[in-house]
Amino acid sequence: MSSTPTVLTATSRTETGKAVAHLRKAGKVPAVVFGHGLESISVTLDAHEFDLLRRTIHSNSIISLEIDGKDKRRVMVHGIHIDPRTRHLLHVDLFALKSGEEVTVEVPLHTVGEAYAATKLGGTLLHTVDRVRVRALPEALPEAFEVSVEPLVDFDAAIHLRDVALPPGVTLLADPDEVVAKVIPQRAVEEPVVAEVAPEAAEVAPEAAEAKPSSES
Amino acid sequence: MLMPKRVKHRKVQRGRMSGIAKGGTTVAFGEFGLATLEPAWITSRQIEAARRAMTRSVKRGGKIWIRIFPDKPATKKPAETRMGSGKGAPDHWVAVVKPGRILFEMAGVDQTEAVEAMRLASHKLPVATRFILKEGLADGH
Repeated sequence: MSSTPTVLTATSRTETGKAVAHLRKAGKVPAVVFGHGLESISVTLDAHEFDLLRRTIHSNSIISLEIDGKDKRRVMVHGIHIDPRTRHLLHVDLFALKSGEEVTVEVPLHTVGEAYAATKLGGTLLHTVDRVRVRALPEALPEAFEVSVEPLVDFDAAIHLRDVALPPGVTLLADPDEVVAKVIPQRAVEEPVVAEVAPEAAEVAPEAAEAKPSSES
Repeated sequence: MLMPKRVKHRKVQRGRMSGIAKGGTTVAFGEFGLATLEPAWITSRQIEAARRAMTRSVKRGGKIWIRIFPDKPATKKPAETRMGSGKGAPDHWVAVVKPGRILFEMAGVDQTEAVEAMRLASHKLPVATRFILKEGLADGH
């Protein structure tokens, strides 16, 4: 179950829209606190404090949010908007929790153990699903689910979502037949000398573009 | 090399590359990604060269995803031709990328190997790039 909530401080704000640009320049990040049946509150977080915090939490971590030093709420990070170019924080969505009300979140899925097909047969372990969408009471949510990859003894074996042991009170919302992890065979080592592009491919006229696209490894 | 199987129009207008990427900006399949910091046309030859550089660097194991596809035909006029007389003949295929777009992803290798492979791949590309990690909320997930 989730451990002691992390504490985060925030100040309420009145600026909205483009007016929040100066907050970002001042090392702050705009955020909104919302929840079922609650009125949304616009707040400001310290960008550095939140940047450090988000490296240690997941979307199912419960945070104790203190607004203006008095209003305390339990929240979860619902979404983070990042500038694709600079990777800086632009905005944070904080979901206020209500006691006794279930929430839908994505819980991290970790693999444990060693896959025989990867360690002994030289394959590559692919962890295709690293988060699972579940519904549960916030108190019942674990930090992460764990699944053992030891049953992966050959390249045909696969671990599915139905193999993940869920704690009581947690409902799986994803497809149970979805593959969580499998081992793919080692790809052939590429020849060091590769023939130059064929002349007909070099012309690359769309009318002559009947050739299939080259598949990547 | 990557190219479309068939196209609706043989030649297309060049277009503009202002702004930043709208999609494909997070690491979706692998553990590590290479993002562009500049807008550019990336040709199918450059994509293939970068892919080969990564594949050879990793040697064995690992999986590589190519997150861009060159679906735009680029035309070229023959050498020593006077201007005019219409648009040139289709010559090659390009992928239009804008800042923030993830170009390649990699999984199944350790970070040091991935950084080196992506560094070698970035030398084959006409853009400045950045190595991106997929790590929970740090990547916006």
